[in-house]
Amino acid sequence: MKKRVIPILLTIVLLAALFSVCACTPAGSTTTTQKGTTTTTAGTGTSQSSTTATPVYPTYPLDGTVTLKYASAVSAHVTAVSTWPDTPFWQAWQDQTGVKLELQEVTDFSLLLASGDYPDIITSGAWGSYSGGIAKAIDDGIVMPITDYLDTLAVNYKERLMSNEEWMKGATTPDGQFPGFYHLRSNDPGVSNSYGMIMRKDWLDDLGLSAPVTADEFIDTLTAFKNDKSAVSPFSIPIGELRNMGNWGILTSPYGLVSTGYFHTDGKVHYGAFEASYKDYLIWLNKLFSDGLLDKNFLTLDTATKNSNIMNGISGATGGYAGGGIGVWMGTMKDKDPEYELVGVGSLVANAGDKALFSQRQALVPGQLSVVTTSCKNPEIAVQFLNYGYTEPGDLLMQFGIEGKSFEMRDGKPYYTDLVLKNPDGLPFAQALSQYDFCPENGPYIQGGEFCFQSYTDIQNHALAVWRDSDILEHFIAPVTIDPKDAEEYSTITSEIFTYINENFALFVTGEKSISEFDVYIDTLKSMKIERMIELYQNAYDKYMG
Amino acid sequence: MAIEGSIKNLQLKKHSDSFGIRLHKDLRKNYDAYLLILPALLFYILFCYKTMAGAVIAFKDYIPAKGIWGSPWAGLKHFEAFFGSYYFQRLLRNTVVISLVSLAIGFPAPIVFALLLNEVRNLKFKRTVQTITYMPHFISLVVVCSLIRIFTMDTGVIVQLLALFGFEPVSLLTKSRYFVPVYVLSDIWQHIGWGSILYLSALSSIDPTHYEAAVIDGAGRWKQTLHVTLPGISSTIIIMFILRAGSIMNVGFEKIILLYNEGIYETSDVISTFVYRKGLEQFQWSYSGAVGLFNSIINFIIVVIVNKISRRVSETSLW
Repeated sequence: MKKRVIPILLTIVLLAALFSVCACTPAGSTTTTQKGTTTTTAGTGTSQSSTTATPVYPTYPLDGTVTLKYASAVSAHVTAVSTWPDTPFWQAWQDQTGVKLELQEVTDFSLLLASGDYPDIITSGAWGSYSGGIAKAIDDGIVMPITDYLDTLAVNYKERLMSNEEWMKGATTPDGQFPGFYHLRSNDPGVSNSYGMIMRKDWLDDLGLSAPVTADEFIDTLTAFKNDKSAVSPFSIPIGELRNMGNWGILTSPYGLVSTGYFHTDGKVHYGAFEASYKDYLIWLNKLFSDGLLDKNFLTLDTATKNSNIMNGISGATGGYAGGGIGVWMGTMKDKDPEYELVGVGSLVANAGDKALFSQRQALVPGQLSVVTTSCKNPEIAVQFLNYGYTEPGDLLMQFGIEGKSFEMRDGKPYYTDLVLKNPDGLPFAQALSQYDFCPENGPYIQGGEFCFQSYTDIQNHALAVWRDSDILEHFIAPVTIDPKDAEEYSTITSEIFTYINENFALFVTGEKSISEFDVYIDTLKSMKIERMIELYQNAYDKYMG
Repeated sequence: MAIEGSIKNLQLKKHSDSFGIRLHKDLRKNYDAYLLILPALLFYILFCYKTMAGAVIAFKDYIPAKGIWGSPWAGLKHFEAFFGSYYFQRLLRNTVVISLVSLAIGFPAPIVFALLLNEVRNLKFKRTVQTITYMPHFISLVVVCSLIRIFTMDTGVIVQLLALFGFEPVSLLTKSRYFVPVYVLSDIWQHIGWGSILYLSALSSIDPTHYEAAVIDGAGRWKQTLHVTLPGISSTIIIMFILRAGSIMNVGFEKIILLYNEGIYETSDVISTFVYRKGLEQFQWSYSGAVGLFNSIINFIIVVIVNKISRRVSETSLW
């Protein structure tokens, strides 16, 4: 019998080897594929630094001999149709800038950073979550700041920043460095806001109801959906989105707070989940849950189920985007149920006639950042390449694509063509357009409202308008950067506190934890140093406000 | 054959020469066998032992641009932070509970299944059952987990079945008390067929004459299983058990991440999911490195202890 053990052992060793291949690759694979094929040419061409007052603008196209390794996640709109390097946009981007590009698709930003082996340019929305913030990434020698190039190779970017205070503040670190090229947003509907509550308009009309305004009316409306429209889960939304609806004040405005987020009243920073009235918000949500108005499965719900619920009449209210929500759902239901209609509903308020405290707003500098890394052999070329998105022709390419194909000029204004608006192959607008431009994905350019305005229906544009009807500008805090010396303390505190708050939110809403334990919850938060956390944020905010 | 031969050679050789001399002689004699094992050896050195040195980041403040060796030392800071964490006790408890329950219920399941299957005489039936039970093993984990989520919703097929027996129809994965049963039982469903292959092959290697002898001695089916079959595969079982014991603290984090949610962290958050959130979502590489290292050391200690016990008790061991 002993003899048998050896072959079995060998089998196991081989099996184990197989499994360890899987276990070992993540660390290994990221290091194997890199090291730019950069052909070294010192000829950076064009402008030299100048100290004169008149700015020297880079001239495009550049000399065309340099290849840059460009790392970024790739938009799902693009990959639904083709691969990015095969799109007309990718070709036009290279032709117009005079730079050869090599794409490195980023599937895991954290692994890319941990590898220590960097491409020339990294575009990512996750830079803000780098432990210690973007300023730390500069200190750590990963990111090459572009501060020294602002008057020369990145002058278009600088001029754009100077035209808007929120842009300028959002694109600067606390110690005055410019880490790279941020995605910038205008304050237009559909750009600075895009998400809100959505309800079945045809049901409301049938029941003779108008869209709910207060928290109590919201309950009445959902109850009517349940009783008279036999909606199984009148308000169906996954936990992550439910939390966001609190963060954005859509549900929490009646209680004078945004739940797990910072806001200010007259310059004093508050954190919603630590406010006394947060308790009332939890009681209200718990009522929704125990009355069967909020989806019983909201903890395990996924987006696909949420979508099918609002389309199949299982729910009558949910949260969603004007494009990916209202647009897609109504488009899908158009042929199946001609009566089917949705409507955007604004943030709830405490008393009818009040203006909502808060609504969803995306920061004008949302954090998507394109940096030149310290590994880049041709930083001057890379800076000019990224600066292109902020020039006039670059603006057209990034937002509208290629003239004669995806847009045409009329009276000096660009308009999308039917090739993308009503694509002959039946592609949705965003997918068709993504073959020709960068929009709607975030990237190194400025996003304006025409994308939505020209392609949206009246219902969608109406939703965008009601969703942003609030006093948000008086309470909103743009993402601020924690002082690097406090950054470690801040991230240590938050990593435990955020878990605790999220977990307790779920427990209080489902009633697994009785609301009578709210005081214990507050005391625990105090012992986890939440007051210190808010203090650090207040300091950063004060510094941001100057 | 060559490998087996060389191993036999090593074992039979009288231990009179020193290890170096014996190795040298054997290398000359069986160089072809050593050549065969070389790629596997290189693999382990390059991808397992070399990367192991990276565990040193647990004692550093890892900054990618400075590399592993250039980053500043941090001493035991990260370990202290973990042991002092608000969640330390809960993580440890959940990890151990989920592991032990899986071990107690999940480990014997494929053995019992293989024994039952071994008694089936109808070959067609046997093969059909085998194929069906393998299947979940080959389905992507992401798909399996969304199946589990759908089945355990309040309207899902499992909950509806249970409701027939008076069970309250709630979504199982929203209640912390149901997480461990869902996790362990679904794990058995996933792996019972695949896990039984090894035992089935061990069963087929039992000498048929033993059964004949047992029959002559008047043993029935049950006695045959007890006195011939089980002893016949006991060494396989023990080896598998030792290997399994070595991963007691390694609860499969992929599956938990796909199944858990904030509402049931109380019973579902384990060390490996915590490491994942810290390292990959919050960029605290050194901290998660420290937690991971702690996890591995415990695993290592357990496997050494179990191996020692097994060698003393049953004379079967890994080394």
